Amino acid sequence: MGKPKELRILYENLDVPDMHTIEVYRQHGGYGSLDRLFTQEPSDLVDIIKDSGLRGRGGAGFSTGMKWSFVPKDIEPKYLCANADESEPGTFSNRYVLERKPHSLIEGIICACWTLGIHTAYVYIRGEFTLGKVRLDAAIKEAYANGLLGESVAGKDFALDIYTHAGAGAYICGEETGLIESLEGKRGQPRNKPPFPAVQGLFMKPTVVQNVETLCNVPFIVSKGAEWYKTLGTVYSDTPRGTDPVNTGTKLYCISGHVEKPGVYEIEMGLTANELIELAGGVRGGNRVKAVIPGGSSAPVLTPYECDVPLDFTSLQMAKTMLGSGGIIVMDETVCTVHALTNLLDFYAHESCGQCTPCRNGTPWTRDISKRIEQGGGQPGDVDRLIEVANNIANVDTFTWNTICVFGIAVSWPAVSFARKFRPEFEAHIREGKCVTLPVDEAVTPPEENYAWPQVLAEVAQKPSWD
Amino acid sequence: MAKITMDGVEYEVSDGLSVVQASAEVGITVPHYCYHPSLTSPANCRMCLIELTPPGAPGPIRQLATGCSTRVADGMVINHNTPTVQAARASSLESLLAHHPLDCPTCDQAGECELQNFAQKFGHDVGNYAETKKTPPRKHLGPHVDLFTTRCVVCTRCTRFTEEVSGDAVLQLVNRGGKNEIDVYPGIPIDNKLSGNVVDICPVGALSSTDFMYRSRPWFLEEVDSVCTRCSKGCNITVEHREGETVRIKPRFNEDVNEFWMCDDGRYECGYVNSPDRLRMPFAREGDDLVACGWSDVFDAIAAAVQAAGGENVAVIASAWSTNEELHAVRRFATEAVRTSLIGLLSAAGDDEDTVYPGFTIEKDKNPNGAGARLILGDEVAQDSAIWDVLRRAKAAIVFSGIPDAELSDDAVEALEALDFLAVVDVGTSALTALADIVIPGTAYTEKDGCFTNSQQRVQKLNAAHPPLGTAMREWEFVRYAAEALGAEFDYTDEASVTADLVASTPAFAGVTLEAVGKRGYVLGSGEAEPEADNGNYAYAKMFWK
Repeated sequence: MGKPKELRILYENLDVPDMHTIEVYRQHGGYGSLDRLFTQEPSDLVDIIKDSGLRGRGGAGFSTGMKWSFVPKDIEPKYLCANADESEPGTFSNRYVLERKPHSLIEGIICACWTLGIHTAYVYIRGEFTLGKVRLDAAIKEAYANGLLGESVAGKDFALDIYTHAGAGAYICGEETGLIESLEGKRGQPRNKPPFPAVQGLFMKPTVVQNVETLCNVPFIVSKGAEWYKTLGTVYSDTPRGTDPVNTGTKLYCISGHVEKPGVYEIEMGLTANELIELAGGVRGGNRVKAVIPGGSSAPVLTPYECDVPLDFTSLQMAKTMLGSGGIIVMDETVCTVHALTNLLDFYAHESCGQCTPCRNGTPWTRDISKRIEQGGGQPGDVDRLIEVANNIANVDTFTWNTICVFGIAVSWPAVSFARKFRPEFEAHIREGKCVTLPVDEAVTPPEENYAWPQVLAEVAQKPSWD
Repeated sequence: MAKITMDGVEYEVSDGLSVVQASAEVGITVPHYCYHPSLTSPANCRMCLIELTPPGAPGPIRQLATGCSTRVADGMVINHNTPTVQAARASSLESLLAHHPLDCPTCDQAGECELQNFAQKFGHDVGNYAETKKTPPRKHLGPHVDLFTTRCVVCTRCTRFTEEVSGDAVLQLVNRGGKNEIDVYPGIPIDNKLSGNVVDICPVGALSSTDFMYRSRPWFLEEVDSVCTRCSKGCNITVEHREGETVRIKPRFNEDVNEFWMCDDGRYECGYVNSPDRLRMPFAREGDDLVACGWSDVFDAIAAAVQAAGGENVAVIASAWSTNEELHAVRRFATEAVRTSLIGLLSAAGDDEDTVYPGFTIEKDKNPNGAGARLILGDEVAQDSAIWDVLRRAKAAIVFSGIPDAELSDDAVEALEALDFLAVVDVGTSALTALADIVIPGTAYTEKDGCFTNSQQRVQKLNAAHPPLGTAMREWEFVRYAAEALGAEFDYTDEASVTADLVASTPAFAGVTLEAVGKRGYVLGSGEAEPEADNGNYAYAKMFWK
């Protein structure tokens, strides 16, 4: 097996000048999937997407085809919301799509809406993506002018309108029901589920919320077929019950932090964290890795002992963490993990919507404990307190949460994983009464002690060969 | 009825209830702050967490469910007592108490506070919170409402009330996350006629009534069930009193009348009950002055006046603020003792239209018993300005009022001044007593037993919180002695005897007994009394609504 290498599908021709215009996009084969699209029955297309194994790229990794099959056919209107509220720290792949290849998102939306019989789509764009919104708005205008949107899409008897909506800077509006509330003009607070958006979503109508990256995958599956898509990525043949073994397609890995060449790398799923770091030029200055966050800041952190875990949905789930949004943050030996955690928890304390009790009060509480330890005010027992308080928001061991939405687990995952896996460093802070950065070997809890070591999946049915 | 299993015991509960209500129905307390049965459930306080097995499922669902947003269904299995549930409830409570100032010694809510109640029953003994507490300042949100921001648990009951019931959405959440606070828009206070309800629904001491503030510990208050007098809706209320003073009026749940609400007119404008201007003894006019006199002087004066004018020339004006019993006694007094046909009905001026909120209506008729009066005195009885014409035909008059702040038109004053003799029964000094020859102290609604008939023809019972002031006597008692002075014998010994007499002689009131009226009232002509309800929201109200 050779070294992993980039395979650009979603990001193909991303760097071509003026790719954001319809002319250039079409010159490079853009909107090519529409010919195939309109010759197929929507119900067949749902099966094709299901067959392709495409999983939602927003974080949860739920099967897209499965989600689409839940959408009731007889209720009108239905809505599609493209989730471009990309605000998970460490994640920045959607931004490039919006800024440089916005037509690929429109193409994906057209494919999804035809498949689901939807005539109105909303793109909820993170407020800070000013250029992205300008480019997407311009692209939508071009698409209308070229007959790709409006009363009759590409001359077919199918109407579709796309509206864009800029968020006002709240992380929680990236949660699908928070997004829907915000889109309805209310405070961005997630809803209780059930009912799920597929049944009662935007304006209480059936709604599909999909990440930009997921939607961008759809045109390729439509034009090239599920069989082709299944040749990409990794499918495991032996996984525990309840674990989805399918990890087909490429993933936009956003790698940032202490690597030589940070950025977005589109690679078939299945390479390991170490391989990705190598691909990104290795750790800066030849330093050692201390911690790696594998899927956006909500994902439980990995220690150097765990960096040979493949970065796909299944393996990371087995390693008790997640691929999430694919935002990989690499921290080298100079990093104080207590400071890193405080910084993360400060973000979550700031971004909690405050709707439900455990999160509203628990999140600042974890931040305060972590901050106190970092600043030298830690007391014996504080690490256990931190873990307990975080587990009371959402229990990472039983994977249950007392909160309305999964923000709760997004807080307690980093809090508990940092405290457990870097406990010696936390204890050193408390012992010394000041901030101390330990060498990697001393800072990390030995893996056999109290955190899960990634189980190597026994049989691999298919894995990229990278050749 | 739905068959459910809770904590291993099978119960039959009413259909369509939330788990919180259903549990209350069978006597199990499910702690909650954000849930209120008359508002939507956001399930945000996370206190009512339960282990739920949906009907037909092999085992409980992995995540805990919220009892407020889960509706009971046949075959559902619910556990309130598993270690997970107990730990989850305790940790939510610990979170809520993290920033709580624990200022119970100076908090009005202490004693009727759900934080205290649930912390005792469901909380940890010791709090683990060792960080700095938030101390946002107290806010004045409106003329009747203050917010002790530190005590707030952000359950959003109040914001939902202003959105769903009063409809003006003046209360909102501002800021985000741990900095969430209830507030009003700048320059727009909470100043609608339902504002007092947000204090009631606040489960903690955050929203406080500026009228009740620091006046009494709730455990010193004695309570009686009563009916509001401020309009013909007849909201069910609880009068809370202490040492002869009415301290607080709160709505009492009645599904068919006012649900959990009442308006500020009824809640706060009961001040006249405690007013120093109340009459405590009879007065007789000597020149320009009213001088205190004895009861025998009153009866002698009335007897003399009736004799002088001749019974048929004496007008008797009843009041739409009197109870059914009083009205009946007054009618008998007029027809059997005075022997006159000059009868009128004094009413408070009403509004042109009902005041309608999305979830509550304040009625335009500002008399608590106009409906009862028309049934007892007859529809054709002279009302409104027509009563002054009745007075013009009379030489003497006995006027029952009891209407606080009643105003008299020039027309009325002219008619009253023309009389040879005027006796007025009123609760306090008023425009009427200023013209009277004899002033008789009446009782306010907190001082009498009896029934009102509201605009739905529902007979509802009020109970006396206090004895009549000073030497005052209740109106039926006064009528009995006055009739005696005129040579008529009324066999009244207590309120119930008047009720019995009313029912026996007035067909419209057939079937009315105090038992039938009960707590929910009795709709005239409905044939059957509604049984004392202990299901659904009545069970909820009994457990959680003070």
